[in-house]
Amino acid sequence: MPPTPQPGPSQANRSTADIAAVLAAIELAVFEPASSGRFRLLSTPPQWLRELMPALEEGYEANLIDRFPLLEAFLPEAEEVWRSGERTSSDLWTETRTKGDDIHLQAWALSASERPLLVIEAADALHRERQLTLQYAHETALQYETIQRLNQQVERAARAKSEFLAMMSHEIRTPMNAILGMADLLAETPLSADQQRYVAIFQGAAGSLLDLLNDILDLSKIEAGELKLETVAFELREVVARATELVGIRAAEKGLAIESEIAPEVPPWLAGDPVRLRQVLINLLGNALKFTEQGKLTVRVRRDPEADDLACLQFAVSDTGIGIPPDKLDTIFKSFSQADSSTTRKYGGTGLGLSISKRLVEAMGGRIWVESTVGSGSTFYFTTKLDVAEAQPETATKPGETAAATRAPLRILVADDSEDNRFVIRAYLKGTPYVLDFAEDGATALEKLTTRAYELALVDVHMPAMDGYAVVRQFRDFERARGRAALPVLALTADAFQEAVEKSLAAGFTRHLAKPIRKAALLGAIDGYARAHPRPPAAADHSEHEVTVDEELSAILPRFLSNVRKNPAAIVAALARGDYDTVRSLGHNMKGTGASFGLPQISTLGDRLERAAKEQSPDSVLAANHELAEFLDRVEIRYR
Amino acid sequence: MIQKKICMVGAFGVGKTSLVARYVHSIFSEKYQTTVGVKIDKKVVQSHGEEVMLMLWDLAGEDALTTVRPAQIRSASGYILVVDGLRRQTLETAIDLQRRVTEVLGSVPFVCVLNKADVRETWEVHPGELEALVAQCWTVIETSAKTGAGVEELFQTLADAMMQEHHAADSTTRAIAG
Repeated sequence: MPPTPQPGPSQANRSTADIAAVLAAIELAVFEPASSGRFRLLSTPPQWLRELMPALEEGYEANLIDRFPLLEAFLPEAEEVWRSGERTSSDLWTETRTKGDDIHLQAWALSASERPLLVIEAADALHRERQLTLQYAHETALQYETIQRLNQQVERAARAKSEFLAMMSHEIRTPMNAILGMADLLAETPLSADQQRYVAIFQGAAGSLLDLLNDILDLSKIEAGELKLETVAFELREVVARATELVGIRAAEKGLAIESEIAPEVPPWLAGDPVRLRQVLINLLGNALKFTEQGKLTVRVRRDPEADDLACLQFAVSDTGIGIPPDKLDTIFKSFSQADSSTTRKYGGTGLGLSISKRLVEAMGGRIWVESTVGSGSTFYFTTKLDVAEAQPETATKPGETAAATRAPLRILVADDSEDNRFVIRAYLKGTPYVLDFAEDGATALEKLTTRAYELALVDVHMPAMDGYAVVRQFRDFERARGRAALPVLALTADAFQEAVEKSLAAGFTRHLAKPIRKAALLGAIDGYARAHPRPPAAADHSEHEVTVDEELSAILPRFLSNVRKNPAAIVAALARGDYDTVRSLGHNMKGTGASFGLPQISTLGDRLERAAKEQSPDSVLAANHELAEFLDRVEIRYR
Repeated sequence: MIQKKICMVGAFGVGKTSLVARYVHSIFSEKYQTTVGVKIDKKVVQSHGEEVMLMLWDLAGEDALTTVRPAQIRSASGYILVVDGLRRQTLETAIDLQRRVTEVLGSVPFVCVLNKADVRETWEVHPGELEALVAQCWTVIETSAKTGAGVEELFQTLADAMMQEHHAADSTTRAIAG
């Protein structure tokens, strides 16, 4: 709406007009409210107002709200302060001038001698200042949001990679189990010299593949931040000896010796993760061995000279090998990096060992570095922050010490969806008194576990439909509901990490076996179970094992005993089939014959077996059968 | 001519100014310029066979210190809630704003905009997540101020909805008067 012409300023208002001109010079336009929402301009219009409202002159009225709609939002607030005599300002707003550029304005409501005034000023400087501050704050916030988003994407990608590797590891380890198992079994058969060599290469290559797989898995777990270090008491001398022994076999083949030296001030017992510490030592020794053709390898351990703590140690692994050029010293700890790509071809390896070692050492609160002279050798140093531990009592036996002769005829369920793996386990346990039953999937395994009697179960964790965790969880519920003692159930899985072990144990597994399972490890685990669960003591006194019988039985007793000694295994096998008739018949037979041969213990146990079979009580059959096996193992016959 | 006030509201940096610039002046700038205060643009559209002057109030984006002033949205006939598809947080701001604006304006037409559709494949907000809002009768339109996709549709949809309200209110008034 065009401004309405009004009478010009009177003489009396002259001084006011002068002030108005001053206000215009400082780009202020002063209005006072007129009738019906219009405003009268009291000052000389400043330049910006001339451009935006060319027809408006001093003393004229105009509908400002039409021209500056923002004022509509400001006026209620303005009317408030005109009443109260205070002052307030509007938000900044932007107008576009005729030539196309923007101007930023701000309105003030105030009173002068109780006369309400509306002042509009050009506020470009204020706008610029606020804009700079806000722009900076918003850009910073946007950058922060972008970084967070990218971080999340990276984390998601890392998780996906880790899951992919874990899945692939299982996919690769399952056939590897069959390959290694077959190679081991093949090596035990009669072979010509050529065949032995081929099998050795076969075993070696499969072993290398497994090492590589383990390295990749290790690294991916470490990168995903999933590495958990244990804190257990260990004897440092033992850890160093195990590492040097292991690498020593290969070193001896090259004619190299490995020496180790632990400084006397180093505490003999420490608390930390001995497995990971040994892994670092084996990596460094293996590396040293790879690049050394003559001379020797040395492991030295002393207190970290840069730390005050007694248990902060410095390890040094030295070789007399080819050395590392100075410009490569920084890159060798990076993944897939060897000093020279031709090194990979000549010496083999993936370059993952040092990268893993670096991360393990850092996880143990230390650092790793290398000093090297080309042509005369390298020394890899690393430090660790451990704790001093109390000396631990020696463990009674080592795994694998149980002789086959003392093995009890355990009844074992093997649940694995891979036919190859079932075959390998069957082959490994050939020649043992163990009686195997198989399940090809989780549902069958659970069905067999809940309806048949076993003394041990080996259950693959990864099976389609119902996995091993679900099987063991439901089976434990079943046992609890019936008040049955927990059956030892060993988990078979491709995942050897601590987290996987914890997951297995949490699900209810008794123990965790990592695939590929070698024969010795499997036997060791089963024997370990047998040791951990000794058969009920049949006799406290040695004399109870000694049985004196008539001389005249000496011709037939050995044959009788030999026949009876087959019964425990036959009973377990029959029980597995649910064949209680056979158990009853064998029990009945022993009941009737034992005493006749001067062995009433056999008659008593035979009677118990017969009754247990009649009751179809697997637990009672197994208990009596244990005692029978125990008695037959220990019994000593004297003839009078 | 009928005039209708529309407020552009949303978190900072979602593209409110860019949508208006694309719609009114057919321009787009990659350079981010924070809006300080208010800028009002006008555009005439055809709706229900008549011309309507849209007064587009481009308000400063919401951040930790800046919130929409009720005085500025008062008397709006409709509003546009702008969400940056790349930033999930801006959807939450929009949902909160919708509630606050309703407290001031009551139930007036509005459109929720998922802006930056030109980089849709990297969006953090998945359009499926808005189904619950669509079920509450939200109109959701995907736009790109950069390419212009969906921009005309956005303003036209809102203009039509506002005019429908306008005529409904008119006939109510006539019925009461008659």
